[in-house]
Amino acid sequence: MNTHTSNELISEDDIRVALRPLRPSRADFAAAVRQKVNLLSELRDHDSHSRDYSGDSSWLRIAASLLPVHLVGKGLIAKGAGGTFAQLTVGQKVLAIFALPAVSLILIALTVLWAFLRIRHSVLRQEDTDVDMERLTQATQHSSILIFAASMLMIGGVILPIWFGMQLPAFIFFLAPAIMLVLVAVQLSRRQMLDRSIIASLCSSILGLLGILGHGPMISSTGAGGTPLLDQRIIASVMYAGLGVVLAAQSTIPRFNVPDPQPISRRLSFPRVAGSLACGSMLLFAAWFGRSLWQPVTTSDLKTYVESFDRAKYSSASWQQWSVPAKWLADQEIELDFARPRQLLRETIKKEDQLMGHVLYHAMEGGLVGQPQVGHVFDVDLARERVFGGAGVRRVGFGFQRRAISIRALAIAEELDESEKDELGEYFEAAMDDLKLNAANRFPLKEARQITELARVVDRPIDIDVHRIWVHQTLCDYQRLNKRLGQPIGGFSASAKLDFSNDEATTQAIELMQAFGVPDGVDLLALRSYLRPTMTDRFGGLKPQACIRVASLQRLESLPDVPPLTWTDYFRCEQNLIMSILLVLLCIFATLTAPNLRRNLPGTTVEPEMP
Amino acid sequence: MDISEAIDRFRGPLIGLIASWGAPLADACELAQDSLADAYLNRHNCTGDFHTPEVFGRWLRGVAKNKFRTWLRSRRRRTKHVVTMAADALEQSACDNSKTNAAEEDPRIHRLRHEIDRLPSKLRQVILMHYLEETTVKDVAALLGVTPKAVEGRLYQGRRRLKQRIEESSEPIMVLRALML
Repeated sequence: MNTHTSNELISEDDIRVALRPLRPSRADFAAAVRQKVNLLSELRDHDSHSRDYSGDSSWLRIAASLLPVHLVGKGLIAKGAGGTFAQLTVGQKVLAIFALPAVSLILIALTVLWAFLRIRHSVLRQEDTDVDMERLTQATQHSSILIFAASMLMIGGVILPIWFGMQLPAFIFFLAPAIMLVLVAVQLSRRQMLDRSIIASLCSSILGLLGILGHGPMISSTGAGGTPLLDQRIIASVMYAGLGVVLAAQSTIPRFNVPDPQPISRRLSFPRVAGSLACGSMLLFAAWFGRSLWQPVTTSDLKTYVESFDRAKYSSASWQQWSVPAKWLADQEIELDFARPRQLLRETIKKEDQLMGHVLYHAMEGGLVGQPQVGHVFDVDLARERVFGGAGVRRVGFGFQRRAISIRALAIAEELDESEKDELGEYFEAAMDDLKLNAANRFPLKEARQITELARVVDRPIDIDVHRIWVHQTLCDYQRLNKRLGQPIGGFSASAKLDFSNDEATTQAIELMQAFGVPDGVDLLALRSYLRPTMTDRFGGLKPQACIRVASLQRLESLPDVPPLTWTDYFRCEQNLIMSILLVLLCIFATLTAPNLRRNLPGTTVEPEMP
Repeated sequence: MDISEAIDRFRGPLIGLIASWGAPLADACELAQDSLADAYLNRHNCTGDFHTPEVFGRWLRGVAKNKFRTWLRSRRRRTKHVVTMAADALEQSACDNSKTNAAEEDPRIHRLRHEIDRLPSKLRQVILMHYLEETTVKDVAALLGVTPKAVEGRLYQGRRRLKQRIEESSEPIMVLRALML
């Protein structure tokens, strides 16, 4: 710059010489910045991903849901609101609550009205028969009052609970009037006032609507605000299976039960064929939504996923997802064929991916980089310099992530002598103490797990008894149990500032429980509920998130402090499912026991069936 | 402006700037790394065209200022709770070169470094920012949000002040030597 040569000025060369020792290494600096960029962007991806519901595609949700409260919220998120439904403003909530759900409420009300009209129409048609008119009028008035009460309950009892995030009461309010309606229909049919086809139509509409509600994201993703242990889409599956049976009873069974003088070609009328097709479709729907029961993700699937990992779609984030099931399988001492992941790692190294440090760390965690390989993928001298050079491990608080990679590489390479291990042991204790002081601004679950794991790898395990109380308290504090609309409960949050849980933090929490024991304050049923299998686990191929949850659930179940699930647990947590099964059984009972009055009308030749 | 260009352009002056605010050099390095990463990731929040060095520099300075304040607060908390090595000692141990060369270093250079530390804030700032890594005046000006002329002016004043102080400090020794002769 300035080439001033005046004697009044100090020489530029002297200043340069004076400041030269303070210059940082360019390469190290650039590498550190890139690492921080990657870490932060990974964290953002992680957060945004955790706000997604079980990885469902929006297309699927749009297609499958008639109660799209969540979709409206999601739509607003896409425009920049940046949160889930529970995080929307009051105005947006009002819009979301009253826009599309209103459509489904109207649908329900119309269905009830339609059912009432059908009943009334059926009763009026029986005026020609020898029915007691006084009894008929009395029964119709009685039933109309009941139906009116049911529809009012259905409409009035839904909006408030949904607004406050209480899906379970809302679902009960849907179910209770439906059960009332079916009971009324059963009473009418016993008095020979309703035909089987009418009962079947009524039951079909109820089961169809509740089935649609059951696989909507409100119930299926969040477990209706409760802590179900099974995929809540099984409710939809039960409803659709019941619908299939009811349709079959309506269109097929009566005709086959009685001798039909017509030839088979004439029996294949349009209503029969349509009824059979509808019945078949419903059973297929039932099988589809109950997929988590008959096709769960197993250890064998985890092994397949780990061994076939040959594409890291999201670079280090995909490697991180891969490392969770890989580590779990390695802990179980299951032999794995790492040919394809190793090939992918070689390609990543060739590409000189900027996220190389992270990729290597997750590869090492998953057991992909052993002692023979570490020398090929890691500069051991550089790692040593990073750990012990300069202030090195004496500087607690800064640059832990960068040092963690190097420490792990040195441990795998068995390049640490006893004094270095001792120094690292002290460093880990100091790092834990530092983490305790600054937990609010950091990610304590992630860092505590990392420190514990590194200390174990280095063979200088941290003092569990000293840190147990703090870790247990942190685990209790970071489990998210607040019932909020659209938020699954029971998982763990990565930061104190976040009020929603995510898969990675939950995995880290379970690994901490493995090391420090399970605290009494952690709700294990809620945690199991968070990790429950879902129908979408295999949608479009086995999902990495599903593998993470399954691996975490298996790890949790393997802990000695975790009691096994009992039937009472299922009974307590699966009330929605039990109610649904009861409703379906009631509908099938009502349909099958109803008389086939139409066959007794003038012009028919077949004797009526009696219940 | 991509991340590589941002690092190359602003690494030196940013470390110098943060060091001039009072952070030890090792921490200034970490803070500069954090600031660059944050500024780059949040560049879309920056008003104006962030591809322009002046706009990105101004944005980066704001981010660095916030990071530095946070660091100051956390350091106060740490010093209350954690018994670790003193910051100066850490810096000393971090600078391997300075440690190894301390014995054979020219006393005049040592004196010069001391005088740089004693310069008024604005002058010390530009000296550190410009000479730490031979950064251009234009880039220093972009980061500080001033004109290149202003930076040149401050550099001139800084060098003159340093010369004066070095000469003042060496005068008594020269007088003593003359008397002894």
